[in-house]
Parts: sequence; C-alpha cells; structure tokens
Amino acid sequence: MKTAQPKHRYGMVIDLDRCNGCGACAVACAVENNVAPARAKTNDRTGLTWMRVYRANNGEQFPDHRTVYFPISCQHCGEHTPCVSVCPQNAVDVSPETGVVSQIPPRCLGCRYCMTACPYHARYFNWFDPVWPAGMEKTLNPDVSVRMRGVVEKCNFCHSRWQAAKAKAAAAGSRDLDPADYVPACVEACPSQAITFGDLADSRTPVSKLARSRNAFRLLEAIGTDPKVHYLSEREWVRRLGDADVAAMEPEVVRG
Amino acid sequence: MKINVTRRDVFRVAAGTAAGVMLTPAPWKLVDDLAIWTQNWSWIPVPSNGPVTTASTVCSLCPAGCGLEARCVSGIPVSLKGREHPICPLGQTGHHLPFHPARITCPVHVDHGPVRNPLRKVSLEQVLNAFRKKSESDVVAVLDTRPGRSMSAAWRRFIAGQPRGIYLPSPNREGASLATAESLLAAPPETIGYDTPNARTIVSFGAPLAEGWGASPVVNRLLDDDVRLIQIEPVWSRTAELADTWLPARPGTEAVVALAIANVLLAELRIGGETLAAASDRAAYESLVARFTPEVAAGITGLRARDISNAARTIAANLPAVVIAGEDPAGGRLGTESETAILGLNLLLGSGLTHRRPLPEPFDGKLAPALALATVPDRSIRRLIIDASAGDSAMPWPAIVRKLAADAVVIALSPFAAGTARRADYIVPTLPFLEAVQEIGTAETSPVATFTLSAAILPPAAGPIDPVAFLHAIGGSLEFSSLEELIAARTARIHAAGRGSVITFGDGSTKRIAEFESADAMRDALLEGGRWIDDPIEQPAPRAFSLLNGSGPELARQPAQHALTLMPRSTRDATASAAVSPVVSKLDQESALRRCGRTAAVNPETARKLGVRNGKKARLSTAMGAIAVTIATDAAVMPDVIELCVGPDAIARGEKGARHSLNALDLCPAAGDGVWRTTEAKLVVEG
Repeated sequence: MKTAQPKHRYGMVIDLDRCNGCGACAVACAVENNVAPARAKTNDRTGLTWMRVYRANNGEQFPDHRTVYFPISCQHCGEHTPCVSVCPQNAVDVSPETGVVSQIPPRCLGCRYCMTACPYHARYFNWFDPVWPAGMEKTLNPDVSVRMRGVVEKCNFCHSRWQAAKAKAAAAGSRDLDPADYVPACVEACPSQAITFGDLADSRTPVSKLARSRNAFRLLEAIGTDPKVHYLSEREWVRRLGDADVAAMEPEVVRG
Repeated sequence: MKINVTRRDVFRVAAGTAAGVMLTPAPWKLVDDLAIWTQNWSWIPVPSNGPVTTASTVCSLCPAGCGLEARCVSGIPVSLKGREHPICPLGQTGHHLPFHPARITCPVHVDHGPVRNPLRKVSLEQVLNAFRKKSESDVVAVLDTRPGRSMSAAWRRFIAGQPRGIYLPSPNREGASLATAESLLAAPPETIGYDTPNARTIVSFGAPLAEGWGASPVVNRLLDDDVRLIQIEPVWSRTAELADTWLPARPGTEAVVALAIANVLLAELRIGGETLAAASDRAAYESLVARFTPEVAAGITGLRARDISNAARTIAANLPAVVIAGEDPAGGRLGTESETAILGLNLLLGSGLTHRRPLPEPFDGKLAPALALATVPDRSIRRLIIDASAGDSAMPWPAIVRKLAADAVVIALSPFAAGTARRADYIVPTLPFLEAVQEIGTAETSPVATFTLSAAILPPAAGPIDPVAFLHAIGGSLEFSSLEELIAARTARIHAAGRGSVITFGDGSTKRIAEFESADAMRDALLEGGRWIDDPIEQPAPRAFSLLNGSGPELARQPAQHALTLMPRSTRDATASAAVSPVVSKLDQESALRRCGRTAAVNPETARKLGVRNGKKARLSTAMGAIAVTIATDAAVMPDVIELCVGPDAIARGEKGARHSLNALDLCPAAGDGVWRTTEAKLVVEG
C-alpha cells in the first residue's frame, strides 16, 4: 500500500558516533508517554520500551572489539508501511499532515499482526495492566493517556508535544509551528545531543541536511519501507549493520 | 393466499438472519467494545489534570548538582528536565522518588534474619534508647555518604565533642584519590581539583567521565573536536566508547602505564625535565621511570608498546593535559601507589591539578578530622550512625562490618529502607529530594568552589525526622534547630565572604555577591536555581614536592596478577541514590542495555577456559563468599576478568515483596589501604 506524501515528513537522525548508551532517551520516553514500569516477571520480550537501545559490535575479539549503541524506536516508514497494511482494525494511522505513524490503542484488538509485520521490532504489546507504585500515578503526564492491557503501543514522535506546539502556533495566529516547540522527549533528553529531529521534507532543516550526508544510512533500506529515522556513523562496519536484523544485534548479551 | 410457516422456515429465517448480521458491523463492533470494556478497569490510572506550572530547582541526587526545570500539575512534578544540559536517567525520574515503595516515614527496625517482614515500625524513642544503651566511652562513629555538606560539619563537630569519636567519609566518593595528591602538593584534598575545563587532553585512568563522574557532566566536552580523551581501563565502557584512544591495561597495572608514559615524555619527548628538577626525589623517580620503558610496560600491562608511546605523543602534542586517577562508583579507588604514579604525571606536565578555596563551613569551632576507614581498628566501633539522608554511596559492607564490635548498634538516616541504610539495625526516616531544601556543595574534583541549593517543590510528608533534630536527640549541641537553618548559615557565610558570583537561572546573567543586599536575597536566588561560583585563585608557586611520596619500592614491584579477577563496576546514576524509579527497568530489565547485578560478564575465551557458557548459571566466589550469577560472554571484557555490575537491587527498584540479597561488593574484601577495585575470584558451573 503506497502512502500519500504528507505535507511534513518529521524524522530524526541519530549520530551513533556520539551515542554512548546512557539510556536517557529510553527513560525520558517512558516518563513522557506514561509507559508503565516493569512487573517482577517482565523481561526484554514482554517489556515496553518505545525507544530501545541495542548494543552491537564489530565481531572482533578483545582488544579490537568495538561496540556501538543503536537507539531504535518506530522508524515511521513512509512507503508500504507494514503495520498499516496488516492491521484489521485501522488502528494504525499515518498522519497526512506529519507523516508520523501512530497507534490508536482504543481501536486495537491486540491481534499483534503489526508486531509480526514490523521489520524493526519496534512495537510492543501490553501483556499486563499498567501499574505504578501507589502514589506514583500522580506523576503521570496529563497529556498522554495510559494504554490498557491487550493493546499494542509504540513511538509516535511524542504526538502530545506536536499537539501542544500546534496549539501554541494557533494561539499566536500562525499555521506553521515553531520547530523549537516540537521536540520529542528522547531528543531533548540526549546528553550527547546525538539525536536531531525535524522536518525531512524541508531541505533547509539540519535534520534534512544530516539525512543526506555521506555517512547517513537507514535500517533495512533494501526492503523499501522508507523509514524516517536515519543513522549516522563514520565507521563503515557500523553502517553495514544497517542491513542486519535488529533482533540479532545482541547475540552475546543475556539477561540476569 | 395461505402461507404455511413450517418449523423449517423458522430455522431458515433464523439462520439467514444470523448469517446476515455477520455481514454487518454490529457483531464486530460488539466484540470490539467487549474487548475495550474488558481492558479498562478502575485500577488503571488516569493522569490527573490541573493547573500546569513550572518550577526550577537543582538535582541533589548526586554531587553534580544539575539545574532542573520541573513541570508540575496541581503542584506535583510530572517531569524533570535539565536546565543547562540534558540530565541522566536518575535525575529525569527524581520526581518519582517521594512516592517510591521503599520510602519510609517512621523509624523502623530492620531484621536481618530470614523473616517475611524484615521492617518493623518502632518509635524514635526506641531508636534513641538503643543508641544510649551503649556506654559513653564506647567508640561512636559517623559514616557520611555525602561528605562536604553543612550537615557533615555538624557531624564532625559532634564527633569532636565525643571522648572516642570517629568521622568517616564514604570510602567510595568521587575525588577520594585526591587525598593522594595532598602529599604531592602539600595541600588538603578539599582545596585541589582537576583542571578539566582548560585541558586539551584528558587522560583518564578508569574515571567514568561519560557516565556522570566529575564536577559536572563532561560529555559534551569529550565530544569537542579539540579535546583528546585517552581512556585507560580493562573494560570497554561507555566512556571508552567516546574516547579517542582506549588502552585496556590489565587490572592493577595502571601505575606501570603511568610510569611508561612518563618514560616516553622524559626520554623521548623531553617534557617534564624542569618539573623533575624541582622534585625532592628526582633521582629515585628518574631511576624508577627509566625501568619502565614502553616495551617493559607492554609485557606487564598487556598493552602494545607503540600504543603507550602514541598516548604519550598525543599528550605532548595537545597540552595542557589533565591526568585523572578515577574512582568507579562501585569499584572505588585505584590505590595509593597507583594514584601517586598517575597524579605525578600532572606535576610532570605542569598542568592538570588546580588549587581552589574550600567552601566556608556554616559555623566556627573544632571539627573532627575525616579518617579513612582502613585506619580504624577492627571491631572497635560500638555505635555507628550512617548519614545517608542526602544520598547513597556503594561500598563493600564487609569492610564496615569488620570495624564493628559484636554488639554494635547501627542507625541509618535515610528517606528509604534501601541501599546502605538497609544494612543498619534501625533506619530513621528523613525527607527525600524535592521535599526538603538540600545543598549541593563543591564536587571534590571541581577546579573551583561552587554552591547551590535544591529547592523543595513538594510539601514535606509527615513523619520524617530532621537530621539536625536527630543530632540534638543523641546529645549533640548545635545552635541550629533544623537542617534548613544550618544550610542558611552556610549561605550567609558565603555571602559574608563577599567573593564570587551567582549565575542566575532566569536570564543566565551573572551577579556579583556584593550586589546581593543580604544573605537572604542570595539564598532566594540560589533557591530559584542560581549557582554560586567562587572567583578563581592565583595558583601558588610550585614548592618542593615529591613525585613518589615514598611509594617507589611498591611501584618498582611487579603488580600481583590473579588467575581470575573480579571487577565490580557501576555508574553514578545507579549508586548515588538508595532508591531509583521503577521506570529505570527500561534499561536493565526490559532491555539488555545495562546488566543486572547478577550477570557476570566474561570474555568468550575465558568462558571457554572455565567451561561456562553464555546464559548459564554459575557460582562466583571469592575469599568473602559466593553468589549465583548468570554468565554473559562479552568480547569487550578483558580475558581473565569478571565484570559484575553493582546496581539497584529489587528493593531499590521498588519491586513488591523484594528481599535483600548480596551484591558484588559483598564479595570484595577491602585491602589494607581500603581498596577493593580488584579481587581474586573463582567461577564454576552451578549444579
């Protein structure tokens, strides 16, 4: 299913040479989007991490072994969006205005076809009721609804922040929002400023320029999903990882 | 016309209707609604709405003191973000901590036996009675997990007034290695810092610079093109990830690397000769350094000789340089001899270490000296107070236990029944971050004195005890009745000194101290997020100094190598607070980004040698005991090294029904000089 080109194409460029795997993006995302903490039995297969940082390596032995951290969220595919194609409920929506792929939890039946279809393993299923320790629910972000058990959820480039930026622009009598007003939580939280966000459709934006740079690449580019998340690295072996299966990135790491 | 309706017709209509309905949206809508209805329950939280406001404060969860902006709904913070720069996961989730399941609001007795409910509520009077039961002549000690605060001064005065009192700063604090520099520079450690801001080369011996270590987050500084970072440590870390050069020296051989770099600087690059001429032990240093050529050092450290030479050349080509003897948030210091060799490089290069003024204390009077834990006689302490009210610090508990008498009573002050406080017999609750005004003084590694205040955003809960009130209750005499008054007194002292400036939060402008009409006005500016920064001082002229401080014979010896070395490791955001937000599970439970405390990482080659396999259970033992671990093979770990992370346990993460368990530090015997960075260990397949 070919998706119509939206007016804006919001996307991000992640400089992997600056990322050192601190996890600030993953935690900021969970706080912003009211993603519940893990239960005692939750593991990396049943957890909810809209932004997950994977560790990959160059395959060499010590001391030539080198690691790279890959922050991977929904790649917001622009073409043949697999999750949209398979959803029987129309619970996945590609915004005609922003190009952002959004999940609509109240429509979702929990069939998880979209999870199977997603080549980036960037969708997560709510296996449990979202529970915070008593009292901590007072700290939830009022701009984001808590999702129920039995539905799929994923990154939406902090949709509530886009809504807020749009409202601010409208209040100022403008139709165009100020790019500084719409910054996803992971971008804002990155201590090494490895993530650049903006409109890829505007060739003048920093994100657009970075996405066109020599060292930019996308994950699984060959399958033609046109992801709007780009990666940067000066290291060739890192760029080659763009064609690898993300689930196979951590063959050595196990959970304790 | 007569219509005969047979039973068959009724069935046909019914079946047709049923089939027809299936072609309409109705049944699917019903299934959909049913699904939604069964997914929405009253216990699923609904975010509260209310007026949205912002408040500024400063994070007091670790010594960095990052400026924060809190977004509040009906006065309750719903998010925290860095004001000047992005912040770590601990800071981002700091607003969860007042609601943490491990939080306590009344004193508790901790039962360390295998009981179902280890925490039992007691009255403050019961805690005080347990303290008073001991004789006045017994040794009373205070273990301060966050030294340098106004409260630290209050404890030191209290200890000074005791017949047999001991004040112990945490043995694992950042900048603890600067105590070694005291002997080289003849200046107390609280007046020495690292001149990181002016350095073009940072040589870090295991300092986790990109993991929150140091006076302020230095990640962006490390990413500057004009700064070279040389990271020397056995494990590929997050700091090594950002380094220009990573030198994986064998554990315990850091001093040899430092001496070999000095060798190249002196012999090949002709740098440091002038400094050397001023050293009191020039001849001994020259002869020691001459022994450790890069080739000799390569054989000891496992590094390539050319890599050592290249590191020295990088330093020489990018002066000024700073050479840091790092502390790991779990592994602690490198040891006096190693630190002497490492810090001496700064003297040789004529840069790196800088003098600063100490922060004024809140009152005059005699203060007890800060003693190192290793200097305390074994089994001597009968009353121990652990002040963890401002934060935690990971340290090997067996090293503390060794200093306690058999019938010692241990009382901890902490907002949480977690971390170091959980080891105590009694825990007295204090107010957590965001519920009380806290101070963030000068970080021990800072090149200049700084001071700021963390404002309370939430109303204080009922029940917690003010540390100053507790001090009064155990017989301490202090002219202040609360911690807030004590901190205000220090603020007034800084104002009275008339030095330095306050960088205000609102517009980033700088205001001289003299421009504040009163100490209260300055305090208000600090509570609004301002930060006081002292004026730089003129660096004293170099005096006669020693480069070896008598450590020459130890440095000349070959470092002991273990068949298998355990290295406990952690990050500041995992150990600075006794409790962490449950949301941090995204990093260590719901993804494999960080290793859990029971995952032992070993090189695949080592795993093969030991017969252990990735993902399998094994038993890790040292002279101190044994724990069950899961093996993770990782080629980033040096062969014959076991990397075991110390991080938040299930209690600290707020898991329901979580029980206390041993961690990597429980397996580490602190050596005679109080160092536990490396420990000989065994790893065998379980079962």
